[in-house]
Amino acid sequence: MRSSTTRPGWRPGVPALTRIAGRTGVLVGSTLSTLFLLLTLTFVIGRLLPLDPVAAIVGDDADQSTYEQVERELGLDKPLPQQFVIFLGRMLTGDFGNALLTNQPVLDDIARLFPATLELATVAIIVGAGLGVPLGVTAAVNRGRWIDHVVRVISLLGYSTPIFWLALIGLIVFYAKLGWIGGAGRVDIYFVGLVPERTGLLLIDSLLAGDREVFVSAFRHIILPASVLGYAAIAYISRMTRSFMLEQLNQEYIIAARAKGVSRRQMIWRHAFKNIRVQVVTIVALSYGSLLEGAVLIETVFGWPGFGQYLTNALLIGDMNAVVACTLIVGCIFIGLNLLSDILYRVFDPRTR
Amino acid sequence: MRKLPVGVAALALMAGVWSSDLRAETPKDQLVIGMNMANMLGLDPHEIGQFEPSHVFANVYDQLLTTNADDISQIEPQAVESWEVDDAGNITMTLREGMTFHSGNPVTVDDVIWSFNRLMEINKSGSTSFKEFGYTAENIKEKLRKIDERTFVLEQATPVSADLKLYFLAKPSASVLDSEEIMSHEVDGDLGAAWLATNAAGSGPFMLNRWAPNDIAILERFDDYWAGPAIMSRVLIRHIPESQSQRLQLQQGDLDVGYTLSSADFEGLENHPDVEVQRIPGGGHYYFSVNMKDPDLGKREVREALKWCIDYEGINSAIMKNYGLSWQRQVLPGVLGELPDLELELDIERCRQELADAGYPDGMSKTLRVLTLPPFIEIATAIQGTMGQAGVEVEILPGDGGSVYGAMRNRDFEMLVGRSGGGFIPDPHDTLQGSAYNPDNSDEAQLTGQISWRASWYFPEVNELIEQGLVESDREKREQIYQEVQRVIEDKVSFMFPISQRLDPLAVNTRVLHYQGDPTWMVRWEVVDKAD
Repeated sequence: MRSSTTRPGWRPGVPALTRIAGRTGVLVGSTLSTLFLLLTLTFVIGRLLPLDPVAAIVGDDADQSTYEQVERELGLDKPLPQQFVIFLGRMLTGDFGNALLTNQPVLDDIARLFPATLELATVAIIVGAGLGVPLGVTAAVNRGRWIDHVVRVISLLGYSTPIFWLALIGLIVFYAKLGWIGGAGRVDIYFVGLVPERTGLLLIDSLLAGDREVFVSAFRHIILPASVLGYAAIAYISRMTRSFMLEQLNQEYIIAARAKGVSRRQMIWRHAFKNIRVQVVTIVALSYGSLLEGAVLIETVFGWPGFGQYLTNALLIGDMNAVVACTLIVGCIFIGLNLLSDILYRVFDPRTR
Repeated sequence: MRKLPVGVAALALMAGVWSSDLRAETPKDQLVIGMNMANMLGLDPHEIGQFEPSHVFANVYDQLLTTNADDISQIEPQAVESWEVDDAGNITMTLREGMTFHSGNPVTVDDVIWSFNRLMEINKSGSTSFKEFGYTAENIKEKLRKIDERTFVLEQATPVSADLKLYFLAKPSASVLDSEEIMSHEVDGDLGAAWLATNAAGSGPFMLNRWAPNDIAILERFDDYWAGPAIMSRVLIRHIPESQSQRLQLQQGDLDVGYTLSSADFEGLENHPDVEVQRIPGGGHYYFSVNMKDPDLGKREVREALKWCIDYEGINSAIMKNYGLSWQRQVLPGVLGELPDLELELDIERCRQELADAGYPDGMSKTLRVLTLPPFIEIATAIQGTMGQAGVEVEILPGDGGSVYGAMRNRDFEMLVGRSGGGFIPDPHDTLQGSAYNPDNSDEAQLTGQISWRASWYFPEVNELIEQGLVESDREKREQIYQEVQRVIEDKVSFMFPISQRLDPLAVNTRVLHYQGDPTWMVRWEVVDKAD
């Protein structure tokens, strides 16, 4: 017989399969209700905002009959609840409607634009985590020394410097003065469409096509925006990693390990860091989620045809089909990343199983 | 040792990436244009008439007529090689021989007729002017008729000066569309609207090769163009929403032409040895407006007083350098009926005194709607400051286009700073029709396309004069009528206080030859060349 100290959620006599099915059901239910709430809120807020998508389409000088015709075509002449029901019905069949911005199905737009943001965010998180985690660990093990102060300054700058300004300075120095990097867009304009789109990730597609020139151009175009974005991530990741590490370094098992003659390197990476890796993964995942949500300013400065810019433009003209679809995608990303963090907790930390 | 391969790989990658020089000017046979493409909401010339897509329409399609870029009052043939206007105002046109669409289909009179029928039937922005001229989806079938395989006639629907109508036959909405190609993509009777929103079916000097909204447009030379192939083999348009980024690329020579830069960046480029800034006068105004439905602002004396509360000179010199040219009349300079500018000056004391005489010794409080964009917000702030000195307390209500112009369309505003007009039509009716003509002032009339109706400006004598000008075919008499209209408006004191004529500036690399900005927005690229 199990005592009252058994794991939470344990119910005696319930088969494992049923428990898993129950948990999955709760998870799916909560996910769907979160998404529905998100969708409803976005739809209602979007419709209540003083935006006029019809005026954005027909222009300021159009007469009333043209205005009303476009309003009818967009279904905006119907009462709000009816619009919502129609929208839900269409959405359940996978039809998010056309975007006003592009006259294309919203899902086609997202399929075209999301890889650009995914590529940018992935390179940025590689930069951010690749530098942020070691910097955080180094700062923690050198607490109070000059290196700790240097990391703190780097982090503070990352937090406090407007990313827009940093991007422009980067462009002036590395593009205009030094000529090391490409300008706007994902690739030099002459290379657009030269490699077949397999993944939508230009670095990968150019490698798969064996086209060195396109790869080089794509790399030169992505490195600065990704580094600027990555720098902002470094600030967050390094500060959090430092805190986690400091907590571990003050634990008794670390003192015991040192007393037993464990090398400094082993103590840091095999003992202390091992115990914070789940938390580090979580913050990296959340940073990645934020980057995927759309680095609007970076995409604007670098003319990066991505998801963030699309969502912003859609919001500005009240293109609610695009806004709602994008919001759902962002919601799904965050829910997915949270789920991933939960799973990783369970994998790496036996106490949570 | 374990780190070595990673380090070596990284070094190799860097060496490979930066082994060649990045600095290179654009190829001699390709034109690279940067602009903010957020306003390119489609590529259907019957639906969209904004500044940015007009550049594409001018080069992908042939319009029936065109205007001379150096003197836009001169109408020239394009898809039609000649035209004749009879006494009744009917225009008989002869189609140019040997034209083909990009698809290879021949351009026929049937295509012209189909294009105009489609324009009126889909009833989008492009049809607005033609509706004003009396054409409808129903009557266009009778009014536009084929005479033979090369000749067709556009009959008068309501009395309208033929001069005015001819200008509109040079607009994107008068493009000749490939009916066969478009109808092969028709879905649910949409006359190809869904397909044409992202594709093109024209006969112009360039073919649309690729268009990714808010990203890139690539146009290839059409070698079978009736006037001979263009000099550039490709024109590439890149979406660059950030002005400073665009400026850097112009300075680096990575862009040949830049649009939609901020005023500060145009100024920054002005002294660059490799860049020329062109400031092209446009067909509209930056203006301050009041709503005459408001019991205070509806009084002539109040409007007369407010006229002296605006620092026209200060606004034009400090804010408008790259946005507008100082001009305070509704008929623009260089247009038939032009009168000397009013050259109004700020006179706070006069404003205060006239307000007191009008019964407002303590001034008044009003709200001012304005877009949160330069130069609108700066103009509004300047007006708020000077009116405040005269006792008029102005509360600025900033917003986006929907909230500012939406409120105006609903006649629900007190004061507003805005911009009127589109591509320049060098005819006085173009500006007066929107800013002074209002045939029905009732709320039910819903003449929302006219800012005069939105501001409740209604004077039958003004309407009458404008109607006379519209039908008058004698140029001299027309000129006199339009001069008279302006005098009457001045006497009545308009709801609209023009501050500047709008400018549409652009920056061009000096290596690019014959790139000439066009007041009508219909810039033609086939003559553009590049120096070695």
